[in-house]
Amino acid sequence: MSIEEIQEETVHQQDNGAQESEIPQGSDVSVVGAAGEKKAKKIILKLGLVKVEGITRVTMKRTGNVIFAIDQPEVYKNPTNGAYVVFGEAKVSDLGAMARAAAAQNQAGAGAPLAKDAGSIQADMQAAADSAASGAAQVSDDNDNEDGPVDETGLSTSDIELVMDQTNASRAKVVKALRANDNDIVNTVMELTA
Amino acid sequence: MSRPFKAEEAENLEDIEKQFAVKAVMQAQTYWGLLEKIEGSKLRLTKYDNEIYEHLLKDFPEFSDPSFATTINEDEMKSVKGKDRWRKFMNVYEEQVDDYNFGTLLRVNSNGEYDEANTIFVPRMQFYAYEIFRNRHGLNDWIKNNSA
Repeated sequence: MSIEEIQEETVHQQDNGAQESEIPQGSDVSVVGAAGEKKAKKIILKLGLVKVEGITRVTMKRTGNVIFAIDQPEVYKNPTNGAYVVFGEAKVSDLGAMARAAAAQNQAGAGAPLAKDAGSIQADMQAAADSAASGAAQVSDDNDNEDGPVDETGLSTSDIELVMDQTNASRAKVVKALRANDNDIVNTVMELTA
Repeated sequence: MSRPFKAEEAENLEDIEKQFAVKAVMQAQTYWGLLEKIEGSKLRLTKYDNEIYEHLLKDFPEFSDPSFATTINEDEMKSVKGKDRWRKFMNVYEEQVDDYNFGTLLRVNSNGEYDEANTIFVPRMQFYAYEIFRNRHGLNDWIKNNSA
């Protein structure tokens, strides 16, 4: 077996990972089947790959803030070309989705105290105070939230809206991606839909 | 058994090559999606559209007849002389445009879609030059009108 084939093995593993990323975040995903893993390990040892000790975690970052993390992995290294082979159970965590969920929760929390009871003046006043307070909370929320006002200097509104329309991404995300891609529309859309 | 790496014997890793093609196809699909949504004449591609357009007219006077951009003569474009002219044109953007040299799909005839016979593989700057020109002259506007 040649070096190319070893690398194939590595890439193949990543391919599996990419497919598994469709599975909802938080679920545990085994990338390599147990039988396949054993067989692959045997081959790898035969190839003269060296086990690397002391590695506790391997993380792979994909576009869109999706992260594969393997805790307690078995890592082998090819001493001649620096290729690594990693075995272990990959966990998928989507940082982008987690951030969005957190933002949505914040919003919901701020909206709830608005319900008021008009039974008595006191209750009314209490409610007024409540809604004022929650109004304030809303404002401070907006600053944290990515839907808040963003600096669009140097960008054209029609570009931003076109990209938003194509990607369903939030305005802030689009603005950021447009900047990262030097205002290149096609590249921006690709980044946001990848 | 593993052996020392020799560049002459190394094969290209097929999966890596596929990745490259995947990106080119994605780019083409994304661009097409945009053209279906908005007239090409209203679409801006890069920060440097004006610059690229003016530069194209200057370096390639044959574009003064807009119909020249409708159909690409690939043989001419990829001839020794054509390559030389285009290389000079493209290298100007080496610093400004990240992907200036990235392989990109381009339609031979702007009246057709991205299909097998109508698609060639060119560096990104050539794609920009042709498509910015085609867009400005409304040669791609039919795509949106067709899909609406």
